[in-house]
Amino acid sequence: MKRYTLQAQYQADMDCPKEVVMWNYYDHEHLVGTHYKLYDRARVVAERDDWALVYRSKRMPLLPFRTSGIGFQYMDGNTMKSFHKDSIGFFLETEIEFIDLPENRCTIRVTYRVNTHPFFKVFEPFFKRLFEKWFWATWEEDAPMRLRRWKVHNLGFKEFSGVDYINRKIPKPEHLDAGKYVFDPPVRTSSSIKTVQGIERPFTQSLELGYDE
Amino acid sequence: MSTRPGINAVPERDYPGMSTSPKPQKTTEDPIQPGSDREVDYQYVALLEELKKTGQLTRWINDHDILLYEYKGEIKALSNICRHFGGPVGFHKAKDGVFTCLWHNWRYSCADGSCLSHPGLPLRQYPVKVTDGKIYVDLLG
Repeated sequence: MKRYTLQAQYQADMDCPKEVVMWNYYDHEHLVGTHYKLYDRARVVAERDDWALVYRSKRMPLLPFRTSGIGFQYMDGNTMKSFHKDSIGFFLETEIEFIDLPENRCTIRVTYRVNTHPFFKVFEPFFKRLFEKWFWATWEEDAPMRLRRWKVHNLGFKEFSGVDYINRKIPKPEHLDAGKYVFDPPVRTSSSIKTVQGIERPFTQSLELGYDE
Repeated sequence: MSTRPGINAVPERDYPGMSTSPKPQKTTEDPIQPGSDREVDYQYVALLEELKKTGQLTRWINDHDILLYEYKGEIKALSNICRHFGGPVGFHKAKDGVFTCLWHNWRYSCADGSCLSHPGLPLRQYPVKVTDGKIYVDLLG
């Protein structure tokens, strides 16, 4: 039977190395934190090295209902490939390309594809609108997170510890060489995200005071 | 393919509470406090009236991310850098005496910065002083 592929592609630049953005994509716990307005539950079903099988429950723009599903992701060189089967029946294939730019910057290019019955070709404008809104909604919440992650890395931040000169109440060292940012999946977790309970967002509404970056 | 022209990492939207950090401004007092051999480094953070508006704000001062807030009538300052992955502890307004970090929901007590999610990883507390309607914190205290 003939098939038709709905496709949409978006890209943007980040003022941080691509490895920081990779970390962001592999940090499943932030879904119900940073994206608490979109995601209400997440669970890592299985994870090893650079692959992960993750359950997510979310509310996408334009859709009047929540959807959930299982997604598998892995790295293929500098491209993350993700396959997501959603509760509404679609099988979404996503490619995220991480492209180096000079001076610790990068370009992120995301391609969404759904291979489906040709009947759904009529919905292509809606598909593009939906994923355009989704891309920018998540981007706007992730971008300050990535920039801050890069910033604290350069101050010598260590996970589950903090910034040494701040913790020790000493002057900031004049020469602080934090080194290259290394992406080393899987990302360490300390919550119940890898258990059958998974994790839930702690609240749905908040008075946001924001970042001061 | 769609590319938003001009976008360069920081989205074209103003985040609530986002503001330009004030220029570092030292107090004129001697760096060695009387009766103490400990160095102090009081830096200006914000006006008292700014804090009064929401009861909580964050500012980067000399590579310290300061979370300034009023709790039970007292002005306090903590490090705004979550001990977990470095997230912004004061992004959300505190509820019921607890800060919840935006990124991964680690929880910290407003009373003393102790970590409720992972005891043993408290936030650094900074001494605070208020002079002429201006709030200063001691970066070495």
